[in-house]
Amino acid sequence: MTAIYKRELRSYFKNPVGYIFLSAFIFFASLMFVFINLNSQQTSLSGFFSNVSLIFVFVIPVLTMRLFSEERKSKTDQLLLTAPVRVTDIVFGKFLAAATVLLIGVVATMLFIPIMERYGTPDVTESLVGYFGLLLMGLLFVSLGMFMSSITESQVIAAVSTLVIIFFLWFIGGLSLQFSEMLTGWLSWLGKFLDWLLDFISINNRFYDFTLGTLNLVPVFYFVSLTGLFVFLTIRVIERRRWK
Amino acid sequence: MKNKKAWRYSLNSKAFIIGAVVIVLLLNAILIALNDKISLEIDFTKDQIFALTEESKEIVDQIDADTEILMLTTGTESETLSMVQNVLEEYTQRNSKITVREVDVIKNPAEVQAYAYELADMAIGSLIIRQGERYEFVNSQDFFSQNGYSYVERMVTTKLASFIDGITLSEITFTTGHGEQISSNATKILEMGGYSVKQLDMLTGELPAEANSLVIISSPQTDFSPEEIDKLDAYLDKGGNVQIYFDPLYGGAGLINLESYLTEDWGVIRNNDVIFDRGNMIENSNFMLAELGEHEMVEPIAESQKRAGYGPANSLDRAVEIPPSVEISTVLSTTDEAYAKGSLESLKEGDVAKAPDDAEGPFDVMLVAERQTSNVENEVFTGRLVVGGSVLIFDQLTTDTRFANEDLLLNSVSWMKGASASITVRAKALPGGKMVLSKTQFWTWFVILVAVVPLAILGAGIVVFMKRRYK
Repeated sequence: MTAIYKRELRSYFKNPVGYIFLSAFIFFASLMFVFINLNSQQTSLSGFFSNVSLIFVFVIPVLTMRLFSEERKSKTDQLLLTAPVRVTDIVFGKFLAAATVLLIGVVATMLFIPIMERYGTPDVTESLVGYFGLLLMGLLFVSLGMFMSSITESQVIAAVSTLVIIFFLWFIGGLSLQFSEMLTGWLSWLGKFLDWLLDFISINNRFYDFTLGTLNLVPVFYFVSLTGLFVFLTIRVIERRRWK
Repeated sequence: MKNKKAWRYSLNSKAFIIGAVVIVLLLNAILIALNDKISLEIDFTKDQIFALTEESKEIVDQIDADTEILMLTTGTESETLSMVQNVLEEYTQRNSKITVREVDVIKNPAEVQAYAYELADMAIGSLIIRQGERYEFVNSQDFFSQNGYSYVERMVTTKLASFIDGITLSEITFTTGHGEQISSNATKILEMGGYSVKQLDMLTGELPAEANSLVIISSPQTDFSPEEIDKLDAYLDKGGNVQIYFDPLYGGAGLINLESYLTEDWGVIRNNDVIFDRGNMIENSNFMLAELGEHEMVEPIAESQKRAGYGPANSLDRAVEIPPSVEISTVLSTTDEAYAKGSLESLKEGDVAKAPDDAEGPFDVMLVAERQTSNVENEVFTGRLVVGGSVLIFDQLTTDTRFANEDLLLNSVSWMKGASASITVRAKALPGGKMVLSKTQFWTWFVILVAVVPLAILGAGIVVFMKRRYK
């Protein structure tokens, strides 16, 4: 796994992809920090966190689109699948490499805390909770993007489908669809279930607690379990291909 | 044979995937359901804004009948509503008798109109707390103060407390009948602080009998009768608490009975003058920053490095002969650069420069006096009196975020009422604070963060790409 991780991580920085991801993420995150915090002279990062998660919707597909699609298109996946390594190691190696690049981007934006400390007294613990949530959310998107990349050999399709799904998950909470009011009578149970499901899959609803500075087991488990699920699904997809 | 094996593998794989999805959904559903019952949250905010205080927990634990909190919404989410929802969740997790339900006022106006409130007066996010036939209203406009405090818990707990038999709100009585200026700001702050604010005409009504009650006399224009002074004295003798605020702007020059009572029985003299402390004056206003005394009432303000303020004020003095049972302390004073003019006319004419015959500071602006008395059964009572030379101390300035006067008002009240004011839930500081940076500093960081850093990374990427391409 370590060899795959190193190879994958190196490839991010041998190609422009890693640089494009980092510069785009830092550019947009800084823009939001400057206008939300420095301009209004506020030390609370909650507004920043609420908005910065939107950047993930657009930049994470860039990070994950090539993970498996590129190998498949250039047929190098045959080498990988016939190599004496477990599929789990391949998937985890690639996932951790993408996660490391994401981590570099998120950690770079932590520079905002000492900047605020220079001109005010921000609550560091509260901010770190927000960053923890941001990282968990990013990991979920990476695992989702990796899964999409594993099921197609086109990088463009992988990127666009990841973007569409993340976008859907991001905005679904804001639609305020009340199925329980639309489905009444004997279908009321379905309405309640759909309301619950919509609330459940809404990334924003789950992420919100972190932006407030609270650490709740429910969203932590939500992000970890869904990340695990997509990693597992990717393993199954690759496993199937190897077996074929 | 091969097909059968493939079919079996495919079936196993699908079952595995479906099983994993179901397990993840199920575990999440269990956790969400559990979170409705018990708190699975650690609050890392500075002032534990989403965790109930011990005072609230005590009240919530005493709720033994079904209590529903209706939250008025328009079906859309907002950051403020979510913050309130998070706090309300703590109540429902603590006591299963308390439930929260959102009511969409657009789709369902009739449900709200059933209560005796005007829909127009109800801001989105407002709460109606009901238990059986009884209900209380909490206006969302009062949830957060301009100076960064949340009153959500304080207000909800206070309303819940009103449903519990045996718990009464601490009472604060404003006197009327002497042209008093009853401050709407102070009234609102005290009500939000969990106090029940009433008005009383001392000629016709009786002062409260409870020792932890408080009477406020706010800038009287006409004098108190000897009978009223007797009532006031008897009330203080039984351990009562009185705050009196004078103000040169509202006149009140002929308060002979009241002033001589203060001088003779309490050793406090109110001077008919106007203080100017030019060094501590706030630009373009008549407001001045006060020096804090060493009384426990202002200790938290001094610790937080805030400053209380006052407007044009009468100076206060200690009498030459102070009754032996009385102890006087300074709460607010001026600097020694202050001076006092003999009349308000100079202020009206705009001539506030120091004249040779002006009295020189420092002056006391707010004093506190304690007097111990005992009855025939040798029971000892401590009557407490606060005298302020400016009504703005607890009026207009309590809502001005530049001053710590809201804290001063609440501290003075809770100090006077002592530990018995136990249902008062403190307001909590909202996350975040202010940064102070100049325009140059702002633009410097803008250029570094938005241009220099991303371009440097992109540049590094281009260099790597070019090197590889032309290798």
